[in-house]
Amino acid sequence: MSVRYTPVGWNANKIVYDALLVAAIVAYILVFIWAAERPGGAPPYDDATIRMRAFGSCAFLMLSVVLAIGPLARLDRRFLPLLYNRRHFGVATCVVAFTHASYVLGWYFAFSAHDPYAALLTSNTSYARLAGFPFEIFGLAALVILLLLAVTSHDFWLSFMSAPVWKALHMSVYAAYTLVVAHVAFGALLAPVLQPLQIVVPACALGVVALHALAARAEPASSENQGWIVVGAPDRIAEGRAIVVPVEGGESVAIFRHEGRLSAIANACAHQNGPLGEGRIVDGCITCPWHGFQYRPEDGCSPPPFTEKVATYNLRLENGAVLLDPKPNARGQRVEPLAVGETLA
Amino acid sequence: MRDQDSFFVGYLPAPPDVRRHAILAGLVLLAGFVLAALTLGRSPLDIGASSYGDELAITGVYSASPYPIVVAAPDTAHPRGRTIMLGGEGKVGAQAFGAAFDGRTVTVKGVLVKRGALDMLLVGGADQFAAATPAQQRPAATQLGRWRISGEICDGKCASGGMRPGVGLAHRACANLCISTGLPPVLVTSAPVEGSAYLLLANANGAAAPAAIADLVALPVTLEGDLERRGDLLIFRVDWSKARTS
Repeated sequence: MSVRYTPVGWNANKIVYDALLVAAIVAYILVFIWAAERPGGAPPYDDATIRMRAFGSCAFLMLSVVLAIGPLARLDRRFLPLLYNRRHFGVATCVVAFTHASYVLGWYFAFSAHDPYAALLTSNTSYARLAGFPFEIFGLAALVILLLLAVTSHDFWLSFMSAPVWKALHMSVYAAYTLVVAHVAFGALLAPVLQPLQIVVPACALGVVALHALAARAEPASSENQGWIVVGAPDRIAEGRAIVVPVEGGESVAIFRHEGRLSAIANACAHQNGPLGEGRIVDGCITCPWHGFQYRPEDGCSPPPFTEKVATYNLRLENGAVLLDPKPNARGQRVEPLAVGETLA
Repeated sequence: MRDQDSFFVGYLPAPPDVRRHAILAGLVLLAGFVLAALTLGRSPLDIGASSYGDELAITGVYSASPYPIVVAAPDTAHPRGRTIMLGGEGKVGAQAFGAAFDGRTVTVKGVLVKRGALDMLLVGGADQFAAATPAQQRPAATQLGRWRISGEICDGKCASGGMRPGVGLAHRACANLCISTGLPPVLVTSAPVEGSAYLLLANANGAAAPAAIADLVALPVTLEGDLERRGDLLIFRVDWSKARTS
């Protein structure tokens, strides 16, 4: 958490994360080039093409991993450290994809009297047929999205746009991934001989889809809505933890137990809409599992000097069951925690 | 969902078990990337050896149509006369360089790019053309009849080794750009035709191929037209209305 904007709020975890990320990228590119150059043989690709393939396939794999981290962290919280610095992973992916595009422009679309960008858009215009469809346009559209996401990845833009708008914008990474898959499917995958890429790309895409399906299945089922939602016995909620209750409109509420009392707040973190209900109570505050943003259970306010706020919800106890009012209070409105006594530690 | 007692907060020191798992995940990612690079870097594609950069001077009769070629006089190695296509350096045809020499005997200097039987002389400019003596007769074209031939249309420069692989759909836009700038299109045939694995493509009237060829480049195609031989080069004068993709 930070009350002022800095280019990057470095800490030890981020440094280790980025070091491993850079090592993986450098290792991939070097090993790819070494393997492609076929020492002693006649490589089917020239140096520029090898590099555009290396950076292109690296960007695809990186984007697949970026999209897999979310559901992985939801299925197994030990993957949360991967999610913590996911923005750096995304920006690095954009840089690698941009390098791929630079090699393409500087090789396939250079050396002529035409502007490379104009040549890119005009050299293949067979939009009316599938065979030979200009797959470059998919890659270009994906790169534009990745650039937009990278440029707006900083918390300044998050604050400027508001979390819901920023989140909605950054969900377009799924559109970018779809475009990248189409880019590869209409281009490199149509090679005349079977290539490893023809197996790896569908496997990655299916893996990303399967992980999201598994994570969606792990989401709590919708509760009945009879004005107040019956949450169940207080014992369902462990000390320092929460359960997540879906409410109408696609929202969800996190009900935390802290020192024998229950408090309900919106499940979406004000920072990046992270799942607060998957967080913990740390130093008396609800702590987001994604980036550690904190909120007081009783009023949904970040402790001073921070200013983030989320909505609170009303709870009551009836016949030994906890009931949730699905109507949110104003963000930061205090609600007296519901005393339910000591239970599971 | 797995749920552990340890909880990771990015700005705090990670609990030991979380740190262990995170580093393990990072190393698995690193190893996975290395393995993926080893797998994806290798390609079973085999396009044969190519060479680029041998300087060559060839003397023969220059023809501008359908695309710039020089036909040398027959010799022992080339009993029909060696015919070589000309292109510029970069994505540019050689039409402008040899405009003053159509039908005349010239010596042309350039850099040879060659893959298998397909080769091209890359010429730096008009100053690489010089009139030569004694004058040779413009070689007569030998008509080889009506043919229907399958293969892939490529640009003659990239396919002859200007780029590797220089063929295939991933290279389609580059090939179109090359052809649009005047470099000669060739049909790399599915099976040898009259002993040749490629044909220089032209319009039915012997002029340069139409712009609509762009829709057919890099696809499996079947073309129909009249075949002729000039020197040792086969030129396919295509009836483009009958071109089919398969």
